[in-house]
Amino acid sequence: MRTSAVVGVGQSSVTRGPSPHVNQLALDACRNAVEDSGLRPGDIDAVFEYQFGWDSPDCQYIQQALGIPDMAAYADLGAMGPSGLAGALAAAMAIGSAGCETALVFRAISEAAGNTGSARTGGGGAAATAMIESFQFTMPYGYFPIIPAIGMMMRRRIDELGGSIEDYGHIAINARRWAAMNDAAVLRAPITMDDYMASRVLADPLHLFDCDYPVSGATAVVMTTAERARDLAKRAVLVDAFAMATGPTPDWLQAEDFLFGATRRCADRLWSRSSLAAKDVDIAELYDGFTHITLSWLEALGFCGIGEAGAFIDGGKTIGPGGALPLNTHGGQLAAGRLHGLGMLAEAVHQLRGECGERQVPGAKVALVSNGHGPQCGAMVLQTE
Amino acid sequence: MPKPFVAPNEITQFFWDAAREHKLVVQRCDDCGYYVHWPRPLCPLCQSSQLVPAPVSGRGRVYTFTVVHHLFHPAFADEMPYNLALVELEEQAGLRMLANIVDCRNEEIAIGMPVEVTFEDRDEHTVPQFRRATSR
Repeated sequence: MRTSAVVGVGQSSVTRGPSPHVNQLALDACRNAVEDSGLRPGDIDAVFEYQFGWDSPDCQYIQQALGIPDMAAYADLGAMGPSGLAGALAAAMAIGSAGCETALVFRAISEAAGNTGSARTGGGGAAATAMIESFQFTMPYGYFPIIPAIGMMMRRRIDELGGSIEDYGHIAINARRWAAMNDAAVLRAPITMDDYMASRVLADPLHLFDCDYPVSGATAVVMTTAERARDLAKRAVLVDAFAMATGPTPDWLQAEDFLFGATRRCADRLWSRSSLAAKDVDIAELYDGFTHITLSWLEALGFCGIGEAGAFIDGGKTIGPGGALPLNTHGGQLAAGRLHGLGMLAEAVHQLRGECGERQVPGAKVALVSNGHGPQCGAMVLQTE
Repeated sequence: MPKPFVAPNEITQFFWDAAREHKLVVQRCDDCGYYVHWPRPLCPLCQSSQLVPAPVSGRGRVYTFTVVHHLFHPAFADEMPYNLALVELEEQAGLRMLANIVDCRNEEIAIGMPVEVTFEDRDEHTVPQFRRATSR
């Protein structure tokens, strides 16, 4: 299989409240990513994007708008995938198998589409409600995905594995520490454990500050073969390994591994394909749609033992600036906004290229990026040469 | 405002028909004996199509729960905060059902608490619920 590389990164405006149309956001991010790569639209022969059912433009819309002459591979990926990273994973597969040469990947999301604190059932509305049979057995009780499921996981985790609610709080506090050094982050004011504990309880023990922050914005990356990447102006960021996993009972409530979803399977698969190990990772961009997800990935990936994340984090020292494992170095989705996964990959690339200014982790050469939880897991190991 | 209810389809109709008669039934594979919830056309363990509705005891334990303080849907406004529990039925490890724990203060719910099924009749349909077990 051919090794792929990320060679371009682009971002739209990221805002809370009034925003350009999501199609415009997608185009802005895509154009910026192509420009950053030094390639031209004519060099691109594939587009991959992830969406929750018509909350974002499709591949062909972007193809035409950018003047990409033809697509050798493309996919509009949806619903039960590992968030925005799904597109990058698809691109790695397509490039690896010579299905295409150079792929544009994007995730564009509006604040409304990203807000799960309403009774919406996800993309697709009434059609999805009729199609997804589990809704029959959850909505009559007042369950609406996915906040209550995470609250139930948090309670079960503390009961089964020990630790405390403060373990989650340190993930939220860490996000703001890093965001303070990121001009593009939307929540830059520092918070304390008292602030975290005082934030509104949504689904006990889940607090508001356990949730990422819905925004309108888009992220895009350009990926190509490692061989071609080496000829481009900017430092190549190679995909050392990638993996997806769902587990055998793919559902958030009925998962075989209720606390971790498929994160452990995904992590095991990832390391089995990688020449590197957890000890080699310089920075980790681990999905933080909810703080529980980040704790799961920390343990699943073997940065510490199962149930040991609280001790490992050590009051935030390990994962903060200057720590042994700088985590979510742009502020994550908790503080830089819910860009739905691809933002984690973008930050990893910026760090490995040394472009992060005040928040740059010195000498970062290996990055871990993960997306999703439940039956929607994906991850990548990235490195520079 | 009525609480949300999603119309059953031919795969799930048996569950709601039984609930209307205050009976809890769960699909069980006639070939390998595995209980399956939510309902589906094939056994996820052996891929048999011989999944038949089987009565279950209605006894189980609270696997985990949450107390919801955020109003996701206006039909629940009068009950804030309300609980949501995943109940693991005694018939099989991992056989979980979502419900509200009724006739119980939220503060009294605990992981591992024994519960038993009860039925809540709503206008057009009946939903299985769970309450603290009294029968053991």
